[in-house]
Amino acid sequence: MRARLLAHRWHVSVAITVVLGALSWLLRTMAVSVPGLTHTVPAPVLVAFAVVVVTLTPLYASFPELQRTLPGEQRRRTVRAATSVALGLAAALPAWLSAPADPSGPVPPAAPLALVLVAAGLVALVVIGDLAWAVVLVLAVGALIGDGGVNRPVTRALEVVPLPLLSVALLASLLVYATWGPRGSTG
Amino acid sequence: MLPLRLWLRRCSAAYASPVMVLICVWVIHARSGWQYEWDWALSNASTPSLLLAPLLTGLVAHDRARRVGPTVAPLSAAAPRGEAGLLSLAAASWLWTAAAWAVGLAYAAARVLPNGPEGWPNPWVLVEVPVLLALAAVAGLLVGTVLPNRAAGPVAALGLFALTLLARATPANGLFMAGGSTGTLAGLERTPAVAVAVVVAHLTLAAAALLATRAHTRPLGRRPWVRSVAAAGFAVVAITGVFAVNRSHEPYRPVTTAQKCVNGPVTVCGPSNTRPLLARAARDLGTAVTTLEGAELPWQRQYVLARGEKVREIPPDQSVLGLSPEEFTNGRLSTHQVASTLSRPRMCDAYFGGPNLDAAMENQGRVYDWITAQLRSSTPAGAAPQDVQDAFRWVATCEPARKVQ
Repeated sequence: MRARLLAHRWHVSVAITVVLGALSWLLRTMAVSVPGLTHTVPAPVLVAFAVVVVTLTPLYASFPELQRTLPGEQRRRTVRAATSVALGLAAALPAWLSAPADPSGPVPPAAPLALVLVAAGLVALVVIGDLAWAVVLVLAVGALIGDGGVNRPVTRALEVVPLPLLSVALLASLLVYATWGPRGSTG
Repeated sequence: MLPLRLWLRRCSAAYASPVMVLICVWVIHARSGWQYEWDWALSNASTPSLLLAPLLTGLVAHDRARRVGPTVAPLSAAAPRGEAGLLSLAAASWLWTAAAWAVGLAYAAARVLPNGPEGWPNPWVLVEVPVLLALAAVAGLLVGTVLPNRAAGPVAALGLFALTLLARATPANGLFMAGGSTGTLAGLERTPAVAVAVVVAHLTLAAAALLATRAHTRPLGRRPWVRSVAAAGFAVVAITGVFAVNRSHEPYRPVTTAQKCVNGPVTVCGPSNTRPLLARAARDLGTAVTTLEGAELPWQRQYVLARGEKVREIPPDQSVLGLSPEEFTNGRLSTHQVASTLSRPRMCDAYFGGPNLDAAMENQGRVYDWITAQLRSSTPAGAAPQDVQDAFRWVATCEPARKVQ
């Protein structure tokens, strides 16, 4: 059990996620000035980007070619993915629940954006493997600065799609990850 | 050249470059108003560097950590020209990222050219972005070298992004970023001292990162720690330099170039390279003044596009043109811009504070509301009510702003 936890880097991921969760809660009323934006962004939203990247870390392939041959791998993979998502939620929730309603300027709605990021990260793990973090980063920061325009395209798009549909998309991405597993190392 | 060619084909940035192009074009396209002036267009075209730089750092760190194997790395470091192979990774990734940014730049230029811009853009952004990307690439090499595992990519990318936000909140504002203006730069130019300080700081930090990487890959010689100490010293000097320049200079300063005027019912003057903006302002203010002829108010007929402290130097018989191209609708000034400009026929000293500030704002607000209502009405404007006439007289004859000594 200990070996499995270490092999999938749970010890590091959980430790950093706990720190990020605490940081997010401590900075819950803080707004950060971002270059290229006329408004500030709540600090917990920025920390949440890092939380998504960190909580996906245990889901990368640890034994690239051997991974699929391990007994009970598909069941463990499902548990790993669900635990990872739950860990991210646990880290982000205290700050989101206790943060003031709108401490700063307009930013894409945090909860739908986080669901999109996690879902995209899970699918990216299956499709491109090691560089899944880059997909999360591009979508997160891209949404932030792309939404700085007058039309706020990301916010409008996220408002059109209902939250239950995004939750279904997240479940579907979990299923995709559980079925096919992460792509092996690109090294 | 062989390592460079190999890395150009194999580096992760090569696969990511189509996405980078999409990001650049999308982020540039998402904003509006910049397409009427070169300087804001270039600055806006640099906004994607906020994402490109961390992404490049992460990709280089990932490639260095995961794709330069534990056997190859020490061999490369030991070979006479082996280190060039590692540098080629950073150079190839930089080339792909810079090429993606160049496509974004070309898109911005293609949107600006049909509007007939005049003069040449302030070239600093064209230096600042490539240098920032070079720093990002070398920083990625350093992180990938000292953290040779899967965490290198995300740590490097998130680290640089966090540093950018941290620098913005400190006196080192300007470090790890380039361009990204969110408003018009008409009447402003990049302060050369600040631009030079930032470029030199980024180059110095890149040199420090290279030294630190070398100290880690080739811990040879009698004093291998000297390189690490030198790298830290370089970094401190670079950051201190930006601190010092930021204390005495603003990032942008009012331009000192020749003025150009566009005549019509209303004459609008401003820096010569802002002619497309001046022409639009003269046209739309002229139309509004003609529409409001029946108001029997002595409209100001001469406006000047001025920024910063230059606003206080405008003569009493002229006023300042308030311009927000991001609020243009189909290339026309918004009703808000027209009304706020016409309701300020003189640059009053009261606008800059003092006991008359409330009276100035109240009178200007009354005139603004009336002009807005008239411009939105479909019926021709009649004579302005007495209270509007009194308010207009107050703002037109107020104590003019004085230059700060």
